[in-house]
Amino acid sequence: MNNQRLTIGVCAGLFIVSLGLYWLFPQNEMIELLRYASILSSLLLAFSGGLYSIDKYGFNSTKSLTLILLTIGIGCFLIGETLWTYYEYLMNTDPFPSLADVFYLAAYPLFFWALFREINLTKVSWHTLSRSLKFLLITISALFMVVVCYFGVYLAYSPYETVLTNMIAISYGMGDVALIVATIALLVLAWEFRGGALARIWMMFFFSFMLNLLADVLFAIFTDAYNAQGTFQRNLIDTVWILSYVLFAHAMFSFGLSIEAAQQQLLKLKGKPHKSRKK
Amino acid sequence: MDHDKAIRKEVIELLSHYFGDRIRTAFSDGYREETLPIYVHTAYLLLNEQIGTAKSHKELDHILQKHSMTSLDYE
Repeated sequence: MNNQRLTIGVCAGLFIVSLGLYWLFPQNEMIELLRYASILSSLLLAFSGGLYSIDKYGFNSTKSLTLILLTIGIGCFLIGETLWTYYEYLMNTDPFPSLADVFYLAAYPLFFWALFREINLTKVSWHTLSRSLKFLLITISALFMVVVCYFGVYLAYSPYETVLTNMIAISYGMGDVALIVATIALLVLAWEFRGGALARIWMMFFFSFMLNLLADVLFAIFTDAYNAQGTFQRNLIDTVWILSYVLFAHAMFSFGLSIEAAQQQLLKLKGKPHKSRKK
Repeated sequence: MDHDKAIRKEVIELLSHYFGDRIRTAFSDGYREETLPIYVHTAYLLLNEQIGTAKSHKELDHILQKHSMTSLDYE
């Protein structure tokens, strides 16, 4: 079995197991623990994908900084989720607001920097996009921003909470608004490399970030139901987050796998054994 | 010569497989295949250097010259 199929199998397997844990088994202590484990596992898989691709590209490649930023970003999510689990499951306390939020929020500027760096490096031919396509992209972005601003910023504010709590709550919404622009721009990035492996990888990132945004919006709408645990809303939101992380994992692994496959094919052309991965 | 030409063709196909239409456009814009100084070592390094930033044959040429790769064989 080649590495690409193995990666797809592991990602799909993890998601299917998670689906079973959330939708087939009633809530009990063991299932609750396994649900936390499935979220953490999907994040760990995504982080591992990042480390794998950084190893394949090396630290001197043009793409290295993008991969490092994305990996540290998902690493922040992993730490944040670990802390959230610690507070909610082990300490039985309200995990919001807490140190977990520091790490969740730290990921946003890293993702933003990575995506915009990549868009800048690619020198996207914005002028070749048709007016109708530009209009469509701007309209879709604006629609998402309105939705996120309403549920993630406006409704996130509560006069009964402290200033700090409100600031943290609103920061998530603002982070999502900024990420919308970068995520929509990924579509243009995928268009630039259409017909190639890179385009497919960027599309995976697009869907991953969009699913993450969807889960964030649903969380903002159904916060109380989510915190109640065992509810339909919690199961749905966690499922969407897990799918987002699993797609992220697949995309990150794909960077390293596709370049390694291309390099090995190039070496075969000259009939020499593979001695080292990078110069 | 035929062997080199075949290798060049395969290398371009490989790069195109990775970077898609973007690199196909750069290769086809003003380049004649037999003059393209792409060899295995070059392509191997260039995959790491995101040759996808090249949008024209001039930019492609610049990247190739940056690596001083013309007819270098892989060691």
